[in-house]
Amino acid sequence: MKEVILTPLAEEAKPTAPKPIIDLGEEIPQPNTEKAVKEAGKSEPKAKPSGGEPGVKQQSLISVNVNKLDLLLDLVGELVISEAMVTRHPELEGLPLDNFHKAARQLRKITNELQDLVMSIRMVPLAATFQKMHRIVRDMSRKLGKEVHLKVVGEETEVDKNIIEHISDPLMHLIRNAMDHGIETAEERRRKNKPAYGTVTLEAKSAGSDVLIEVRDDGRGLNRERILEKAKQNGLLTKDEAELSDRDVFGFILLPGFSTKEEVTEFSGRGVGMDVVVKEIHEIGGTVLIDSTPDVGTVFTLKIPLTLAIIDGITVRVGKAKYSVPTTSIRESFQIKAEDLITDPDGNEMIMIRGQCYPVLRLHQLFNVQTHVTRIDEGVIVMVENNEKGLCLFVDELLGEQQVVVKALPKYIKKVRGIAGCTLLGDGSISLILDVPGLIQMMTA
Amino acid sequence: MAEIIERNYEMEEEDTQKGKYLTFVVGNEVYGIEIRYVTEIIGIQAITEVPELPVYIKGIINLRGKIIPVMDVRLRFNKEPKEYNDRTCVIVVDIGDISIGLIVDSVSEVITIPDEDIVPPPQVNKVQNRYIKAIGKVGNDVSLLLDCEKLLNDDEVAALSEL
Repeated sequence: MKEVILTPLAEEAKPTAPKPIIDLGEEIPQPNTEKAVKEAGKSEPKAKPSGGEPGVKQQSLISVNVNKLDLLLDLVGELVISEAMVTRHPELEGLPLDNFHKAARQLRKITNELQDLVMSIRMVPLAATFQKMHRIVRDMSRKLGKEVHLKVVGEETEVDKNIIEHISDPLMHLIRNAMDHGIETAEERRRKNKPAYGTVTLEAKSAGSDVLIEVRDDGRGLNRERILEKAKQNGLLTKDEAELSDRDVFGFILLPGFSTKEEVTEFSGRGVGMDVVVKEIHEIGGTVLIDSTPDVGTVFTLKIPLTLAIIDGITVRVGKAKYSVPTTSIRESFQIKAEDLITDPDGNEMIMIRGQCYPVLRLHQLFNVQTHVTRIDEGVIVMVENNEKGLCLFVDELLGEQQVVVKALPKYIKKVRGIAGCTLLGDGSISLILDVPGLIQMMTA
Repeated sequence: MAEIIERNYEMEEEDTQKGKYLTFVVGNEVYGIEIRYVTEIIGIQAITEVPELPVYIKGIINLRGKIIPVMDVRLRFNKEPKEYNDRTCVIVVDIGDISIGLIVDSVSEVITIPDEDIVPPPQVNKVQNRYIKAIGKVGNDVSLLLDCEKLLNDDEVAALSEL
């Protein structure tokens, strides 16, 4: 049964993961009429299917310093901007330049393809990271005296190079945890009518602009009672026990110093680690989810962004300043009437949307920007959300949606509240990227 | 013989930037900055304001795809702000691994100030001249030589990072 499931998964994953490469292979030959390119484009998709089996593939690889790629990315970004500056130059306006526009279109197409290509160069399959885990499982099986099989699914899923670096350690930790705490001893497993060997499944799949990496074991599952007890001992319970959902309870194990294991082993049980995993994953804008069923197993799901380098963003204007809001965190945008605005005695503003009350954050007040749009019915409300918490941002107007290349703020400036980074817009101006989770935390904490 | 020439050549190579200062004007004073810090000089650009920064950090600019902060040296020295005009320049400096643009009233020239013409600043009890490393004599004029590191690294900046 298991094998039947495995094959379609692998089949399914294959066409999705190498897609960018195949797409590029097919796209590049179209604008270029040179035969050489066409041939290269044809041979690439052909080589791909065989790429799955080691030994058959003929790969020629070079390793490149990531800094060079970053530089290339910057340069291409600049190129895209200069292209717009040339082809939409104000001095060209109104002139009958049919041939120029034709050539300009071609230029734009090529620059866009170049940008996509540079982006895809940075994408690396997870295979190498997943391969490392085999060894860990083997070593630990021997040391713990538990027979554990590692099943890897979707290792060809690609993520940005920067992100790969951050997930190796967390994964290693989760796998160790699963083997040490999750998987029972062979004897115990026999009693429970489970196969004598345990299975840890490492699965990656892409979901929109995120990648989901699951570490799944078929062990004993998390013990809700034990965790609750421990949480009580450590004074972590703030709500009534019955009110806590399973996810809330399991969330406790992610806190620093939390371990329900009585004895400390070479591998785990010190209560350090899960908090480090969470910290590392948060650093790259990801989240950790835990699901567990007693005696069936535990699933740790890491939800991480595909890339740190590019996001889809809606650009909004406040006064003269422009801000980009990641599209994934926007739920809706709308205009409201002045009478819809509720102000509490402390001066906090909020609005009621479909029976739910959301706080209103005026960006011009937060960032101290001069603007004429201060009346709530003149501007636009952008509702953003994160972790099921909502917040309404009040801005002057929406300028449009575009993919933006995320750049960090200069080191000298360090961290600014509510700003996650900055980006260059098509006209060369800079827009600040809002840190939506940060803003929501600021307003609701 | 050839060896000596080579050695001389090497020394010259090393020393091309030594003793050279880029001078610029802020208010009534002429300041000098060691040329090795300077990467380029550009005209004033559109500055994107960033919230929660001290007044003298005017914001960030796009320098050919690189985003760097810009500091108004006038405001840094607690002088009156002045409208930017076509004489206003941004001196892009690299200090350590930080690139930053310094907004100055105008840029004058690159001059060589030999070591013997450089004197330490007078000892004043006030903390006023904390950004001045030394004073250079150029003919009859003096130029205040800036301590770039101090210009950037400051308690104020440290406090800023704790926000």
